[in-house]
Amino acid sequence: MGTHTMGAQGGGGDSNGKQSQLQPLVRQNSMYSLTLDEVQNQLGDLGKPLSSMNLDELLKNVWTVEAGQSLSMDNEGTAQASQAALQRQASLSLAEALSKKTVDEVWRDIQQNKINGEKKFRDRQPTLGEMTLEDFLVKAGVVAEASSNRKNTGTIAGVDSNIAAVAQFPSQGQWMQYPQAQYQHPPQSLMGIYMPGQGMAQPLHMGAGASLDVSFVDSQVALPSPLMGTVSDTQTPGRKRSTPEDMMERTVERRQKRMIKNRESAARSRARKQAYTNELENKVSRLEEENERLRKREELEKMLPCAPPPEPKYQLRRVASALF
Amino acid sequence: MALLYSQNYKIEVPDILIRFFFFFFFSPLENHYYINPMLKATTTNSAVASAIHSLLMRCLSLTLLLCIAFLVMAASVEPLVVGRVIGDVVDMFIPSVSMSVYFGSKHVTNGCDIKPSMAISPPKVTLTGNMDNLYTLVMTDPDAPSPSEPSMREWIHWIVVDIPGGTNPTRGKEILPYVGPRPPVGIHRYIFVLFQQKEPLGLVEQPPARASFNTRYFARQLDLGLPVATVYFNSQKEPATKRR
Repeated sequence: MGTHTMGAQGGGGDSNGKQSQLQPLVRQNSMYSLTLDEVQNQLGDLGKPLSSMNLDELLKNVWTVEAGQSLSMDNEGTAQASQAALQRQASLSLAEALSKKTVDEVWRDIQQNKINGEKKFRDRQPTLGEMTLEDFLVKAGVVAEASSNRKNTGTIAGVDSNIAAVAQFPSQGQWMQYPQAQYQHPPQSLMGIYMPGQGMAQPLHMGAGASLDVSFVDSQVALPSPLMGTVSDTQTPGRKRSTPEDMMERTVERRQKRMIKNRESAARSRARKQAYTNELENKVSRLEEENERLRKREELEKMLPCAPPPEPKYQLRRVASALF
Repeated sequence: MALLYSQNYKIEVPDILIRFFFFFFFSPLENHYYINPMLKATTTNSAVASAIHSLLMRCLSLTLLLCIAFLVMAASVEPLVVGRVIGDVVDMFIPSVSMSVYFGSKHVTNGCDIKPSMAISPPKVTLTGNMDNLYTLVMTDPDAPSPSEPSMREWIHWIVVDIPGGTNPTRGKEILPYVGPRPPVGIHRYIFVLFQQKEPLGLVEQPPARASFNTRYFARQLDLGLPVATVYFNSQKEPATKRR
């Protein structure tokens, strides 16, 4: 998954045009899945190398670019408005201490395990450049603790939750919440690409209420971070791009098939019952008729002197009398 | 006459209708006046008209009788239609022979339930009919392996040919030995179909397999025509262990 991401983003990163990035971005449209090297490439000339930027500036730059990219996918007005809001919020959410540090320092801290990051990531990102942005932010503690409201209900609330989602990357367990969230949303196939079980919405897609819902579902981000990798490694290799939609369709199909089968068997059972009843009725009428007949015959026999007089038993008769 | 009908076709033909038929069909012209008093007034002068009238009446009564007979005949095979035996295995026919099947003491009526354990041995089958005629008996299961998915329809259980009328299958030639019902899934129908042969068949070739048998095709192959009697029963798998 990571390689796939890199490939896509590598291609996308070469050209800075937003439109050309649309296609590959549609598949993996989050900056957070990129390694820091690629992020640097994408951000273009920032004035100073990534590593010496403050976290503040890093995030701002990232979000600027992302918001810019999101423009191509969403309403421009809302994106811009939300982008501003984002940046404001983001800076708020960053810890004071952290924002002052440069990326390099943060990285050193991570390596020394001063910041409580998850230990499992350690093996996978040996150097700063190869770390994905997302992981970096996780480790840096930019990611706050688990957010309570993941689902977006209202506009502002949605924006807030999105911010929170941006500012914090959920721990492994929280990835699981999203599949349910996304299943509840009606499948929208604006983007047409989904990663099952990885329901991390693109937090930067802003819009009012309903469109937020849409964006959550639409902007299914392939976040093939190792974090996700641990979750989805078993799923992705063999799966043929089955989307949550497909799964829903399949279950619906299955349900319909079951219903049809059930109906057929119910019809068969009704037919059986009816056939049995018919047969019984026929039998009853036959028997009744026979009964009638027999009774009539009996009556007739009673009325008429039908029985011939019984044969005379052997009767002794005097034929001749003996003289003696 | 009514009695005869009842015995052969196992139906109830009201006596009065039979009498009606004979009254009009075979009777002289005078009887027709009972139905149509006007006839007398109109036809006293014209012999032709009265002749036509009488002819019409006879035709009418004949048609009426046939209709009744057909309806009544249909009633006797109704369980077969409702149970989809006529349709899945055989085509519509008019029963002309009385066949009774007994598994032990249990008399098989259409749609009755027979346990597989009761049907391990071949049943006792008695036919009416002429001694001169030869009959073929076939026992088949159209619901194999499962009624909801009869992929092996039909599964043939028993074939006996050259059964003399009025006797039983032991006097015939067993082409395919009897196999008792063993329904794996669901409630299966087991159908006995009796055909009247046009000629002695002798040694008939065994079907290549018991599964995917087709009764219609078999009958066509041996030129058996429509069945003369059919009866079927239901059977399902018995629970393996006795319920405590």
